[in-house]
Amino acid sequence: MSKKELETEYNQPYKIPVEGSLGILAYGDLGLRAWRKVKHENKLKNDSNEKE
Amino acid sequence: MKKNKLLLIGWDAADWKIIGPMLAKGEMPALKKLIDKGVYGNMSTMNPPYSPMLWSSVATGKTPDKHGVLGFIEIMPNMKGIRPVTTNSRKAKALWNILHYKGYKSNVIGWWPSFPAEPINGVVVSDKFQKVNKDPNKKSPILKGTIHPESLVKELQDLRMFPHEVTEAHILPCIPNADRVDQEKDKGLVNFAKMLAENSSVHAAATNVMRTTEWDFTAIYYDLIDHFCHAFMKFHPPKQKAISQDMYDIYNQAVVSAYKIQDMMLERTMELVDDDTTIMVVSDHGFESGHRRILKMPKYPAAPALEHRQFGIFVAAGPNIKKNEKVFGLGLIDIAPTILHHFNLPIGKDMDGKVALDIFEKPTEPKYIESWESIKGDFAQIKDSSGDDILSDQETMQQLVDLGYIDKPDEKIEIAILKTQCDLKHNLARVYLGKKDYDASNKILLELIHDTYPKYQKSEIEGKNKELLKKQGVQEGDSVVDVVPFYMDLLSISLATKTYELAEEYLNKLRELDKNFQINTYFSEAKILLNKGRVHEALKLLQKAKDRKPNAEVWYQMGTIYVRLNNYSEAKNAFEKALEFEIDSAKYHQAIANVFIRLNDFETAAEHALTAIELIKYFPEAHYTLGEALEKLGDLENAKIAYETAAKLKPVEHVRAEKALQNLDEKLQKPLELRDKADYKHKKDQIVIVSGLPRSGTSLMMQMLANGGINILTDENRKADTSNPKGYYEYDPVMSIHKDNEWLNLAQNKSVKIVAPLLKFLDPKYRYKVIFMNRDLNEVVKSQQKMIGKDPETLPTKLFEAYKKHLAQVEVWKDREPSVELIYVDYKEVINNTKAIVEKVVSFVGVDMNNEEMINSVDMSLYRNKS
Repeated sequence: MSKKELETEYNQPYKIPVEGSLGILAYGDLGLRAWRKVKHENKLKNDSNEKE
Repeated sequence: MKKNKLLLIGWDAADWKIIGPMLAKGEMPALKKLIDKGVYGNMSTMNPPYSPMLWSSVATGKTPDKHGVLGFIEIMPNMKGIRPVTTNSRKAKALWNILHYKGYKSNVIGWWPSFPAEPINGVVVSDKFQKVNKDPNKKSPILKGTIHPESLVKELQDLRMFPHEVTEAHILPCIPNADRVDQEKDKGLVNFAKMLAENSSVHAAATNVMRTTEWDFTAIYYDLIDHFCHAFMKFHPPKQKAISQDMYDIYNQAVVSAYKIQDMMLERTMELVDDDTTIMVVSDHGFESGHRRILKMPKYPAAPALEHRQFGIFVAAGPNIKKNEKVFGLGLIDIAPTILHHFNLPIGKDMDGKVALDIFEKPTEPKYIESWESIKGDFAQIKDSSGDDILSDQETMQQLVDLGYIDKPDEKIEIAILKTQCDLKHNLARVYLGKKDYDASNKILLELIHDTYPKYQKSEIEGKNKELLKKQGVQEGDSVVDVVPFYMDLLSISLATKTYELAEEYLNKLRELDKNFQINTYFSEAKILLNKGRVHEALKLLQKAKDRKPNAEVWYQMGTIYVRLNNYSEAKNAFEKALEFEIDSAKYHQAIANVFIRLNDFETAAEHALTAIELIKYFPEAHYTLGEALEKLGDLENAKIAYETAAKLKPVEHVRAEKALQNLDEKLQKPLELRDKADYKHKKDQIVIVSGLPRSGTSLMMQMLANGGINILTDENRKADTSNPKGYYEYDPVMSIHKDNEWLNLAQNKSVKIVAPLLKFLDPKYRYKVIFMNRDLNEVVKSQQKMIGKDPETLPTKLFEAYKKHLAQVEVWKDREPSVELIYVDYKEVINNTKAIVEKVVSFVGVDMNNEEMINSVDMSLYRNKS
């Protein structure tokens, strides 16, 4: 599972799972955007693995 | 950073019945945190409980007849179709319009209705923002008017979440057995994804504007709980018989999960405000979660609203909000005036709500103006809607149909418009009905039944909508507008206005019209029978209905008939049964309070009347009943307050309260009359009680009894001192008699000292002879002041009033309790006329005693603190 570190406003590290979570949605705009970024990066990674 | 900000969060349909147990289990930590540092209470809704109307009342402080939002849909300004209700329907100024005029900055996110967005000073993300096409292959453009200012569209557009983005990580915590859902037949997961996505979009937009803008007021509306409840409440525990085990196992956690998600979102918004911000979390109504859950919706416009409960929630916390206190009697109509007051702005006298002053730690006097509506200036309202040709929003319309809030619109536009016109007029009539403006309601309903409507033709019955019309039981020649609901309301009005002949006519008309669905008419029939004096027939009818399907209302109606028959004991049982079904009905508490008064149980009557008032503050009858109960209990001062409140709330009609007040004023002016109740005979195993207010001579009387030869129940723990040099004759367990009165068996054939306020805890299974020491209240209070080292010349008036109250209560208590005899003994008489008093006491106790020793007990030198 690919995870990405999210910096919250309080500088607490938070690992975002690709499949998301209710907690990330509850975090609002920052959570939604960070999750989509993780998904996007994961997709790029998978696409590149497939090519290889 | 701005000061004195206010964040208003709307949770449609949130209900304490679900929240209470979750708070106890620690499952809603954010709300708990808010409650701990603020106030909480019920918030009563209005009729009809349709959300767009209610949230517009929250925003305006006005009832729907004034603000103009009358339903879920509206007719387009060009009269070419119908569409989900928009801002155009609202004719009154919302909070954000007033705040704009006054130079404040507001953010409004998701409010229902808020499209098209009004050009206020701040941000509006309207309720169209989150509505996206569920088909990921179709585009979901952000329409003009969705967001104000339009320049923010670019910033916010990616914050819409789409249903297809929902993953098992979102579903499984809410529906753990989601893999068992047969998605061909069961649309539960599709609905779940849509509801979660929409509310996540609202929340993302809200958190964004809260973070990135300077604001004074932010209002956010979420429909997550309401929509989850409509979809999944039938599967919520306890399992209902009609629900299959399989479906129950799949969905039983869904409703609770919506509350958990909402709480997590609350936590995030709380992180985004400072301590200087006041936060309010409110719901417009509750949601039935017990036996009144509806498994099969009746065919009735907006039938799902039948599942809405009368009470929503109110929680508030902030710098000037009281801490950890329950508040009572709030209505959703009070929110706007309260928020205006928070911003130190005047309240329009034409607003129907009032400032909830009870919530404030340091309340200030509200300011008023005649009306905000007549003030000219820039309120950022949308004035010209003539060019507003927004097409009917199919997705949103479909959602309203899916939720059951509206019927599927007819294919023929003119029929769809006609039906909508009728629905909106009917809703307005129901608003007037809710406000008890029967004339206004009646007028509209009569217009509705007298209008002529087109009829369904054969071609329509067999056309495109064949299945739908068949399902609705529509036949060729039926009117396209169903007039049955209009007649039902006319029937209610005629019963409320006691025009029973008309009621009978409407009832017969309904029987004639009601071919397709069963209407419960037994309440109406029973009322008509009652008017004809056929009381027992009415009772029989209700009993039959109760045996068929017991419910709270049928028990209540039976109770009212028993009251009419003066059968208070059966009435009490019936109202108790009604309360078993519905514990938070103010009406039932009020009814049973009234019965307890007739049964001479005034304390229980007062408790129920108070509960009714806690539930609905503006309930004049309950205040009146409370007044009656308190008056009987001898608490005349508070009885007066209760009667005054009843009269104030209903100044024209409450003549009974006015009369009761006059009587009470006379009573208050008269000195309290104390009358003995004694038959001067010895009773087997009697307990002789010496009572009175502290420092009224009770120890002296105990000493006299002891010297006269009566056994005393005392532990002698309290030793003699300068205040009572001959001892107190006290018994420690007396002090906790309200918790444990088992020890009273030890007092049989003995004497024990019990102060006046504790007499009511005596166990009625024993016989009591109470010698009640009476002493001039000024002397009592002075003596006490001296005993506790205070200046005896300073009279604490509150204490004085409290003692007067106790004395009045004793007078009522002794008359009420059959096991109690009581004589009053004046302290001054004991000193000045000892012999006569001793004879009176001996005769009252009814046993031979040593009169001489009793007389010798009196030490004149101890008579101090004379007034």
